[in-house]
Amino acid sequence: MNRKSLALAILILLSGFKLWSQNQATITGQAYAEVISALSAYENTQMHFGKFSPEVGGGQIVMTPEGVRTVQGSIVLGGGTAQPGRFIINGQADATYSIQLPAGSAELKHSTSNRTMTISNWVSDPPAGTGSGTLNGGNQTVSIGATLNVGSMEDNPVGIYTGTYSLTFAYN
Amino acid sequence: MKKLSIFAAILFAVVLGNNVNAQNNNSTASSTASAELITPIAITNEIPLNFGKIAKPAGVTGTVTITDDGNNTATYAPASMKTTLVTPTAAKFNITGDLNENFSVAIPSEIVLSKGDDNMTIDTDMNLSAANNTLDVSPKALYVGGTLNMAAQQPIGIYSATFDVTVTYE
Repeated sequence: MNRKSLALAILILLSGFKLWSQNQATITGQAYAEVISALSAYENTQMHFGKFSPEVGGGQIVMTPEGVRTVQGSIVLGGGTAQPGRFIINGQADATYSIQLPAGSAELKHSTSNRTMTISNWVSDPPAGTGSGTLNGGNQTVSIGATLNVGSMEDNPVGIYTGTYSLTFAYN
Repeated sequence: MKKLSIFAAILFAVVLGNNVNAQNNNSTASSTASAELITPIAITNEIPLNFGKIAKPAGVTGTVTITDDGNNTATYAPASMKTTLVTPTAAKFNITGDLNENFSVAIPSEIVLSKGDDNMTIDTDMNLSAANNTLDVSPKALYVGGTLNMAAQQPIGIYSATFDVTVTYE
């Protein structure tokens, strides 16, 4: 085969083909996931507004998350136990989580009658919000305060009033 | 002809194409050659596939799905597994090459994440097809998402894996 015919053969072979100096490439990617402990919560102490007398017109008792009670109206505070609600939150160490307080009020019912009182104006320490709690060491105590709305002596006769409320804790 | 001179002739044809000149003045065939040298296909990794932090489901199996549309939408079942402590991401790769060329993409259908002897499996998804993709833009984004499968008693900890992605001109 002489030089000319070989060159012709090569050019014909090339005709219509594409040439890649590299027609394939590979790269390695990474994939991750972290499984963390589920969030759990339990009530450590029940919210308790303590003993008091509404007197003539009733009023309000404000309980701070630290357990300090102040009154508005004619209410006179008595002795005995008074404490905020306390919840222990467990989960992934150092993770943050959100605290959601009740949207509305909770109703307390008299033990022997149909009389009621309400609790509203929920506050917490740490405060409510997204990512406001931090699980240092994997747990944290959340304290809940609120305002008890008391009627007159006639509306709210002597006795024990109880009710429930719901809180939501979530990782985010 | 010796091998060396054949090689030289090929290169010459490729580089000069139709402009074969007097240096190798073969008028016979140069007008019919249509060799075309195109840019090599390449791929880089910009973002890892990261399912973030997942709260262990309470005694039931769970799945987390990350979309492959680039929006990084994560869906949790059960919903209690969701956390937003770390934003989940689909893996993002950038493919470069000659515009309008077709190419294929190969990813593993499964990725096994491991932490010591513990494993979780990801069933992968991607935004491109296995074959017949066109480089309409360069770089062209490839997203790899998928569904992570968790056991009922999946041990807590960080799981990881690597996986290969191959792109080929068609």
